[in-house]
Amino acid sequence: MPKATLLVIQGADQGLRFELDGGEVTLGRGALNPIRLRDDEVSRTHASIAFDHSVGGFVIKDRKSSNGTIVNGEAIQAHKLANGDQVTMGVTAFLFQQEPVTRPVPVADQLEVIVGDDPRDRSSIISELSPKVGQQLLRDATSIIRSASPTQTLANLQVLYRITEEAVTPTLSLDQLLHRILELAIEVVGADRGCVFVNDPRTSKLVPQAFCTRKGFPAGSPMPVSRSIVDYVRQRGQGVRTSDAPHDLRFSQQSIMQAGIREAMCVPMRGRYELMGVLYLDTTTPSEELFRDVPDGYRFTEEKLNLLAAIGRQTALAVEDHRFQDAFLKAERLAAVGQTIAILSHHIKNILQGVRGGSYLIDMGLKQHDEDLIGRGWKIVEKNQDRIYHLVMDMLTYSAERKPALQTANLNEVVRDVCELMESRAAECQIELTCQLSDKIPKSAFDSEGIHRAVLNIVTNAIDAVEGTAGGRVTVETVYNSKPDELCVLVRDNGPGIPPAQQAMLFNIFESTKGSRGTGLGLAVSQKILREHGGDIFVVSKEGEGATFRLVLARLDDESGLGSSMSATYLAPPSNDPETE
Amino acid sequence: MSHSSSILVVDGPSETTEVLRAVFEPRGHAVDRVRQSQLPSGSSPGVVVWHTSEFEDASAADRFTGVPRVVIGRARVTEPASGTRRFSQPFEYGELLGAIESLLAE
Repeated sequence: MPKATLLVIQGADQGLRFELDGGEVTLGRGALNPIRLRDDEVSRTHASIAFDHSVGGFVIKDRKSSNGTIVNGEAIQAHKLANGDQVTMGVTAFLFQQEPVTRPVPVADQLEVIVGDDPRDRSSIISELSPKVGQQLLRDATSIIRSASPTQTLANLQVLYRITEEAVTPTLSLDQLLHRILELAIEVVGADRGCVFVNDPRTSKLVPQAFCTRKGFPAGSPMPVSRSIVDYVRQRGQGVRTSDAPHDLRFSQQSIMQAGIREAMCVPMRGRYELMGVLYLDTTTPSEELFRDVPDGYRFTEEKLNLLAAIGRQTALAVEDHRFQDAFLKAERLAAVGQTIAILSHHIKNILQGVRGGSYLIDMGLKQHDEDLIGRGWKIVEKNQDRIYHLVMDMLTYSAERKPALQTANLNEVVRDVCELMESRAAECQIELTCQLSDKIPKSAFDSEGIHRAVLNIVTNAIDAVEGTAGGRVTVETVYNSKPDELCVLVRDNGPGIPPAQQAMLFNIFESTKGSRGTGLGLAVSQKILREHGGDIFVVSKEGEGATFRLVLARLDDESGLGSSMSATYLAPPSNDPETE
Repeated sequence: MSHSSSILVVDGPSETTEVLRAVFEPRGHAVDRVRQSQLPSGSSPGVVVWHTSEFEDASAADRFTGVPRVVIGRARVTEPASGTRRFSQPFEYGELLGAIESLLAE
């Protein structure tokens, strides 16, 4: 079964990617959906996707949703998804991406490049175009084929529009894009086969990148490509039309009748600044059709060469854009990796510094036989051991593909545990920590360890926020809302509050308002955990009036609901989506 | 204990203060820790241990003009100003304590 993913390209969950493993997954607003969408215009259970062996692909089905399921702009009830399809529900749009079912044959294996002195290379140029024809044609669409019929002109224009459309489709890899352009070019000029050679910027050599045949063309021997023609086009930047027979006096009429004529067109793919490659199409006219259907002896005409030159120019621009995007993406990745390493190194360095402080006191205590000093040192070491543990756990929680380990438990027990854990810290900072547990909290299925981590992160932040404030208070409260059946943990502090500008970035990874004390992971991790539970975190704060964090999770009757049926894997949290009230 | 022999730790991790307390309090030096935003007005410590960060309010340091200080931060300065010692993390505590001792003794 091919691997497939759904990438959210529009909506509140933009940037999330869900991996589909073939089993049925439901998509919707409800907490029980493996793919849960934060979109009010999406139904509770909106649609489902599963691999259907009878059709050999992933099929999406609408589940009687209120606003419908749209694939590529059309409402569907059931639809077999193809790579690059755009699925829309509510205001959320997904991109469906799927690996090819069969491993493609390398392009080089499907071509036979014939060098100049090879007797099989009988091609000779019968016409050529000026280097600027492709560019001019694109600028002035009406001149694409001046002598063509209006119907043909319209068809040619449509091909150019379709190529433009393909070129800006974000899903396509360069190989897929070139293959698609070849398909269109073959169709519009009536060729049998085609290939694209792309200039390798490192070696300056032309490398075969895509190959395609027209539908119904018999598979068989590799496509012969004349090296001398390719080199000619490359060096002169001119499109050419070639034939292997009519102008070659070595061949008698008899031999033409036996072998048929192979015509080819080769055009440069000239980008904005340099030659990006060449586009090569050919056709083989069987001998029985030679003088019946092709009275003048040529299938490829001057007009078709003109059109192909425009397609070549369009293809070059697409290749160029693809390279730019690739370069931007690599630069972004490198910057992100660099930033991650710098931030993590900084935190690890702080922890190391703490451990050094503890070790120093232990060392001093041992030399002086002072147990009190050893105890004080050991306390510092333990504290930093905790810090590194939490840093590692936060990193794992944030980065790992995980499913919540649901077990029926009482939220009050988890919250009480967190409060007890933080009591000594609060006392040390002279902060009043109050725990108010509602006796109406029903049992629910949730990942105790995950929720513990989320609540602990928020309570730790609250204590940090009021540390040093006279009369600092932190209140942790549990609440049950029967409608819409959800559990809440409220964490309030009377600290300095969070300025609006900071609230907008609060849940961004590595954004910390605590300076060197914060890792910038805690809130992002907590938000991820709550979202995995079909919930979320909300914050209300005014400067000078403290802050209230509300952790909300859907109440589930048992463990069978959320995690166990998940067939989609949450792959990456959105990087920039503050959720404030 | 004389007021001028106290050590004021501004910002940074609590461990710095804990180590300084363990070492200097038995020797009669008070060690206090404050946040930059809550600097006490009119205090005149013997030494200020100042943790720098990108969030620093540069004008806050002016309050301790003339007070010997240890600056702990990212910057490495080879020629420290008079009465100022600079450290960048990770540093050795022995060196930090030695610097504070020498500043207290000046």
